[in-house]
Parts: sequence; C-alpha cells; structure tokens
Amino acid sequence: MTSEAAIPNGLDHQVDSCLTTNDKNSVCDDQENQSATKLDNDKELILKLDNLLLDDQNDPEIYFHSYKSENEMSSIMTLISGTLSEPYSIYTYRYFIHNWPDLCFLCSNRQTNELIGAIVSKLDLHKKVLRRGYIAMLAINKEYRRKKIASKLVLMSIREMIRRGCDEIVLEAEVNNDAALNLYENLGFLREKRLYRYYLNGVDAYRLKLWLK
Amino acid sequence: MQETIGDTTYNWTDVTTEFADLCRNLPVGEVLRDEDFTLFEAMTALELMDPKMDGGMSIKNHFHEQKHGNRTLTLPQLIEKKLVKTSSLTPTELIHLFDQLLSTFHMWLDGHSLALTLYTCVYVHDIPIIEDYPLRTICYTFVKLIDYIRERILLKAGLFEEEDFSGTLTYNFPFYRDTIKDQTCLSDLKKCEDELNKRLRSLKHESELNQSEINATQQLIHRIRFLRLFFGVTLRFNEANEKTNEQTYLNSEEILRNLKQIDELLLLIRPSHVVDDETATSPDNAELIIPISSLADIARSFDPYYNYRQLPPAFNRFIRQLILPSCVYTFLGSICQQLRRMLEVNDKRTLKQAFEFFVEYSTNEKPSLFIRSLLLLSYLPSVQGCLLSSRKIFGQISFTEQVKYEMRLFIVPPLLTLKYITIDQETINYGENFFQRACVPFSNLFYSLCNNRARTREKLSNLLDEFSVLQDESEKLDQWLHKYFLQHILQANLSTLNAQTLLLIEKTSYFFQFILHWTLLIMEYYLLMGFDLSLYSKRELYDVYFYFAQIILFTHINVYKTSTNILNTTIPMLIQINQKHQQISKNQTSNIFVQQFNSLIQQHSNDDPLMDSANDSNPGQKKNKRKNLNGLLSTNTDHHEQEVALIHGHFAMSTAMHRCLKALELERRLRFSSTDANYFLRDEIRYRHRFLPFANLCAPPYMPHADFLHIQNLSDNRYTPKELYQDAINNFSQAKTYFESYLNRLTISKQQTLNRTFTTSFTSLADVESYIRIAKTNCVVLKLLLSGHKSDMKIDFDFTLHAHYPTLKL
Repeated sequence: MTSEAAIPNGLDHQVDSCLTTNDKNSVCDDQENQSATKLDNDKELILKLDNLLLDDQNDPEIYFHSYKSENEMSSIMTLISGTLSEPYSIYTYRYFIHNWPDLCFLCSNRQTNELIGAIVSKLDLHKKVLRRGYIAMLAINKEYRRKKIASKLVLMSIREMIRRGCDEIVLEAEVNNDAALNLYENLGFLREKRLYRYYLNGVDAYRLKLWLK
Repeated sequence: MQETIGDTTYNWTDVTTEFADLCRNLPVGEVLRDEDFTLFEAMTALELMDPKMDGGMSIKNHFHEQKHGNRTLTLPQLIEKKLVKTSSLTPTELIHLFDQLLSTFHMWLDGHSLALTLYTCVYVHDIPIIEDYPLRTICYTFVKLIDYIRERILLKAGLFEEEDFSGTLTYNFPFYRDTIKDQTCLSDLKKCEDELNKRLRSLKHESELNQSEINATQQLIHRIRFLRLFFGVTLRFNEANEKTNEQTYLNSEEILRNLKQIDELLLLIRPSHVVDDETATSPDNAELIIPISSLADIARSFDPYYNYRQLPPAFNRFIRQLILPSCVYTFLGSICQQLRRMLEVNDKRTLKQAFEFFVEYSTNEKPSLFIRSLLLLSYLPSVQGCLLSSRKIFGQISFTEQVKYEMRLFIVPPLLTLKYITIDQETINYGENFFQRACVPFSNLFYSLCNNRARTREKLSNLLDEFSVLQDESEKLDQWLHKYFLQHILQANLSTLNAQTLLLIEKTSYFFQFILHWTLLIMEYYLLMGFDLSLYSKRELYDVYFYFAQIILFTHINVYKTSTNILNTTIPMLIQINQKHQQISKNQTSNIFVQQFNSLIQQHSNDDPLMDSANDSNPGQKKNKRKNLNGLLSTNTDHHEQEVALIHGHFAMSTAMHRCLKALELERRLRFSSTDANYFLRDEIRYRHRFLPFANLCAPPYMPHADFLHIQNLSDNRYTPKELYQDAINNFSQAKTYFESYLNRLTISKQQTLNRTFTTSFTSLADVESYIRIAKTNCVVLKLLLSGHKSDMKIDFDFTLHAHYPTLKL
C-alpha cells in the first residue's frame, strides 16, 4: 500500500453519492456516444463477473458478505495484520473502510462466524481526470488458502468498482509474492512498473494495473 | 501527578475514566474529529504505546536496561558521568571507533538516514570538546566526508528519489562547516599519521617489544592514511574553484594513482572483530581481534537510539545492527573498483560511445546512488546556476558541439561538412536554434541513465515525448536546408557531378534521420528494459516481439541503410568540394558550424568520415587502414557495421519469436490465452496503454490497434503452424549467424577490449553469447514441434538464460 495522495475532491470522501454511473455520464456531455459504448462494455464486464461469481459452487462452509459496522473492524485488523508485512494503524483501516464500506468484502465461516478473508479497497479520482480503483489489502486465513476465496473477493471488488464507473484498478505487490502476482495477472492485471525498494524491508514491488478503458 | 522531563516539570491530571464514560455515548462506528482532520490525515497517526509506532516505547525498553530513565545523555553529560572517555584513547579503542564509523558510512551510502548511522555516535554531536587529537580528527573527517558527498555530489547530481536516499533530512545535526574546512581535515590527518609513525618507531626501539601495541598502532596508521586518501579522492569529484565557483577539470590520473594506493592499503588493513572471549584468535590472522573488555571505557560511544525521538513518525524505524568491519572493508574495495571502472568514461569522445558506456556501466556494475552520481558529475560536471543542457562534457566540450559532431559522424550533413561555404545569418540562427534545443533531450538521456533502473525506464518514456518534438523540429530544418544546398552544390560546378548523388542529397532528411536514429535507440532500450525488469506478461509477448521487430527494428534497419548509403555515396563528393575550394579560401574555414567543432575533428582526425587525404600531415598514415571509433579495422563501406549486424540479429530473434508464438497459439500449445473467461484486459486497451510512450512520435508513426492487427494478420495469420515453425527456425538460424559474425569480428581485433564488457548500442558481449545459445536451443525445440512431437504438451517460456528472449521448454 502506498500513502496515496488522494486528490482532494472537496467532499471529504463522502463519495457514495457521486460514484454512481449515472453521474459519470452526465459529466461527459460531449462524449455521449463514447460513454454509451463504455457503458455497454462495463455492462458486459459486469455480466461476465456475475457469471463467474455464480458459476463457482460455493463451499457451504463459507459465506461472503460486505462490511457492516465497526464491530467487524477488530477481526479485520487481526486477520490482515497477521498476514501482511507492513504495519498499519487502526486509522488506516478506518480511512479505507469507513469511506468505502461497499468496497470492503469479507468471507466468514458459516458456523463459527470466524473471519476467513478480507479485501479492502477504494475508488477515487486520480489527478482530477482518472477514476482509479485501488486494492489496499487482501488477506486470507492460512487454513483456508487455495480455495479461490481470494479470487472471489477480488472479483467482487472489481465488480463493484466497475459498477461505479472505473477507468483502471491498481495495487502494489512484492516482487517475490508469486501467489498474488499469479492471482492478479490471471485476471488481466499487468506489471506497469517496478518500484525499487518499495517496502520497509528494502524489497522491490510491482505496480499492478488493470486497464479498463 | 507531577513529572519532570529534562528541565520542565508537568502537572498531569488523569482523565481516563471521564473520557471512557463519555465515549460510551458514542454509537458504534462514530468518530469525533476536528473539521479539518479527516481520516486521511489520521492515517499518519501513531498509536500511543504501540511498540511499532511509538518511539518512546522502544526507547523505554532500551533505557530500562540502562536504568537512566527516559533521557538521552549529551556528550558533556556522558563525560561528566565518566561514561565515555575523550582523551588518551588507546590505538585499539581508536581502531574500534574508526571501524564503527566506517560502518555507519557504509550504511549511509546504502540509503539509511544520518540519524540512524553517523549520528548514532555520541562523539560526533560535539566534536570540539574531544581532547584526543586523532579521535577529534577522525570524527571531523567523517562528518566532512558525508557532508561533501551529500552536498557536492548527491544533491548536485540530483538523481535520487525517495527510495534511494533520505539524505535531505539533516535533523539540525552539526556539520561544523564554519569550524573546520575540508583541506584542514586532510592536513590534520597527515599530522596524526606522522605523530603515530613517530610513536611506532619509538615502540619498535623499546627494549621489551609490546607486540600488540605495535600491531595496533600500525593498523591505526593504515586506517588514518586510508581515510586521508579516500577523502582526498572524494574531494576531487565535482571540485569547485573556490573563487570562481567554476568547475575544475577532473584529474583522473591523479585519482587513479590514489585509488591504487588505497587498494594497497586495503590489503594491509585487518578489519577489527570484537569478541567476548579473550582467547579467541582469527583464522589466518585476517582480522584484528579486540576483546570487548579493552573497550570498556568507550562502551557508550555508539547508541542506535540516540536520535530516535527525532525521527519523523512515518519513518522506517528499523534499527539495524552496524555492519561488520570485514564486510565494510570488502565493500570499500569494490567501491574503488567501481570508481576505477567509472573513470573510463573520460575516453568516451562521442555521444554514442558515452551512451554505450553508461548503458554497460549501469547494467553490469549495478552502481549505488553514490557511484551513479559520480558518473553523471564526471561526464557533466555541475556549474552553479547552469542547466543540465548547458553543461560542458567533462567540463570542456560544449554540449552543442558534441551533438553537432555526432550528427556529422552519423550522416555527414552538408551543413556540417562543407568547410568553405558562407552561411547566411538566418540559416545560422535556424540551425543553431535546433542544435541548442537538441541538447536538452540528449543531456536528459544521460541523466536518465544514471537513475536506478526502475526509474530510468520511466524517464526514458518521458524522454520520447521530448524526442517527438525534436523530430518535428528536425523536419523543419531539413526542409529549410534542402533548396539551400542544392544551389551551393550546383555552383561548385564539379566535373564529376553525379546526378544520382545530387538527387540523394536533395531527398535526404539528414537531421530527421539522425533524430530518428536516437529515438529508435531509446525505444529499443525502453522495450528491452521492460524485459530486464520482468514487466511483460506471457500473454503480451506476441504483441511485444511483433512491435519490436516489425515496427521498431524494421524502421531502424532502414535508417542505418540510409545513413550508410549517404556516407558511401556523398563523402567522396563532399571531400572533392572541400578540396576544390580550399585553395581559393586560403584554407580558412568559413562554415561557422565546422569552425565550432574543429578541435573535435582535429582530435579524432583518424575517425572522421571526411578524413581528408590531402590534409595529412603524416603521409605515411594514408597507408594504414582506418580504424573506426571502436578500434576495429574497417573500410569505407563498413560504416555502422557492428550496429547493423546486431540489429539484424535482434530483428531475426524477435521475428522468430512472434512467428513461433503464433504457431503455438494455433496449435493450442500455450498455457494461457487472453480469451480466458476471467481475463478482464482487452487486447486493444492493453496495446494502447503499453505502447503509449510511442504514441506521439512522428516516426515510427503510431498505429491504431485495428491497423496493427491487420499487419499481424498479413504477416502471420496466413500461414500454417508448420510454415511458421519453419520460418522461426530460419530466423533463429539467421540470428545466430549475425551474432556469431559480430563476435568473430570483435575477436579479430581485440586490442582495445581488455577487461571491458564490450557494448554496441545497448547489447553487450555477454548478451550476444546468451542470444546465440537461446537461438540454438529454440531451433532444436522448434524442429521437434515441427515434427509433431508430443502434440498435446504445452510449451513454457524460460527467461533464465537471458531476460530478453526466452528459451522454449517442452
């Protein structure tokens, strides 16, 4: 994760109201045709995503849900800080999750309600022109790995970002993190650049990007 | 309750219960905050008492052991409490301190902050009160050394980004700039050395020899001498004349001499090694063992937490152990190696040679920020208030002269070759304007190559925008000059005037071709760096190799053809015209441009394409075959011979790659596909973004995706897999041939190769050797595929032999 300079959109991130695709269309007046085709493309993508998510027979043991309240914050933090290398304060979690609760997807055990997986993301205006989605954190409990839970969470996040109108989605991943690199690259993310010594421990990272437009 | 910290006494009131009670009134998820303080700002908050974030917690633990409360003692306080000594230090103590300081220097060069390196030494915070002369001198020198590198080298070169260097933060640490000058340190070190040598002599004359003290003193002398030489060498880089603030000429012979002395010293220095066990010895006596008991009086001299409270909150707070002296001295040895190698830049007398050197150096040596900065400053020394493009190469040659000379070498434009023409003011202005503007992207090119590799690639993509503007400008200049020169040449009225040659000169866009040539070089390097940094996914390979071969390399081959043709065809005529007018003009060069770089021509008269045989001062030289600028024998028709061989090699390799990729796709032998259900990146979108840096160029002209698909279709889709495999095999064979002939020509004329990794454009010897092996292997695999071997098996790509081209794996 980077300390991204989120562009001050003057709204203190009360973002829900302006992130619907309707509003986006009203902005591109002179490009109505283009935005119409973009919308079709988006619809196409969302359909594809819906099909993918429904296709996979869910393991009856687990269920997916969105973030609901601060009560879930503690388990999210425990899960994520247990798996990621960088230390984050509770305010970092709150920044993302309180501002973009609809972009925080969780996976829990049906019986014990234990939190198994979480993805934390945001969607913002980048340099005043680009709507950029950002996946800040993704973590799966060790015992539940290799069950495609991570891909599903990522798909859910991408779907929501596309629904809201998104030009590109980015994230950073360590160069040695093959699992993450494979996951995202199979979805269409490319290595846009290499970030030298990105992490506190001096390791390089790749900026992964999925171009949608 | 009351608490005293330092000089202040605080009266605290505990409000925990009240606060907790009030909080109960907040619903779950509600946050109370100030208007301007959003969650975004809150991300930089520290959680009190969290050991990862709250510096005080770590210090608290640290000091808990020391039982001195929450305070960092200043040097005077430590002296007063007799916790550290500042007078009469033994040689062993001095050696230990020296090695520790050297270790902090190494870590600082590596990118760690001053607060966590040099200034963890308590002595450095208040050097004037140190009584011991050697210690005082050593401390001053390390501070001055780091200060000089910071100010005159790292900051002046300006190559660093966040990830390289945190040295802009100085935490109000003392640098003693007014107290002591650099030169004074050098003379003080000499004095120390002399005094210690006297002491050593007297020790050796004692009736009972104290061998350990003799050894320690000798080792100390070596270290002080090393520091003096090393600091001396550093001071020679980007040395500014104190009075004029102008760049002084880099005396590389002197530096090389000093480096040799340093190397010899490094062999003599035995790095110290502190041990608990008094009886420990070092195998083969390579290290100087120091029992920890002999360091009791200076145990508090280094404190990694000394500046902890000053670190900015979001800072990297990893406290690293100081690196072991044996590693540090090895590191210093390699620094000297790199410096020696880096000084070879001084004999790179054309932009092309300099470019090749910079590429080779950054690829093979993987230099640190320090060395990269030195490289840039050796090539383009900084001058106060001067832009990069106005700097002089090696502090001597104006950049515009160098650029013009380069153009002359590449394509002999009449404007830069006809000596005895008078050029009108308007044309001079037009031309001069263009040459000045050309300096900006060319100087930026060298700047870009000195960044860390990840940043270099980014900067190259920005550079392409600058080159696209230059392409426009060059076209305009060419148009202006076309008619102009036709007149001049007709007036020359040569009996041997060849209509064909005239037509050629009329048709050729000289400056455009030159700019295009460099644009293509940058595009090629940019694309290949993508492989070096492992940026391309397997699904992209087809498009990348296709673009590389059929658009970039294809264009470049034509540019070389054009240039070679011009050189071969027009040079005789240009020489004739010059000769014809020489007498009349009484040997006075009237072409102002040629006048300007006359000294460059004289220096390299052997290599000048217009080597004027009538001008030879030494008639015997005429008989010698000319050596081109790389020291290789060449004849008149061999212009760009090496470059052309390599580019054909690359072209063949890439063509082979995209042909076999297409064949593999048709035979469904690939493990992936961009038509996978969960693949969300559309080819057209990927194409547009990946090749975005190429979008603004005049040439090669940007192709919309539909057109790109169309030419791909024409090129590859009409054929069967078998035909494609065969073509790929042919291309890999061809590549092998081109590369092998390139190597053969090099080995014939080995004189100048010595220890160099020979690089032409951006391809080194090692690269070529790998490419040959890859071509061979792929031929074998492809022959198997051609015969239908294991038709159900998928193919994988292995980039371990070389990042640029994979070997195919069954």
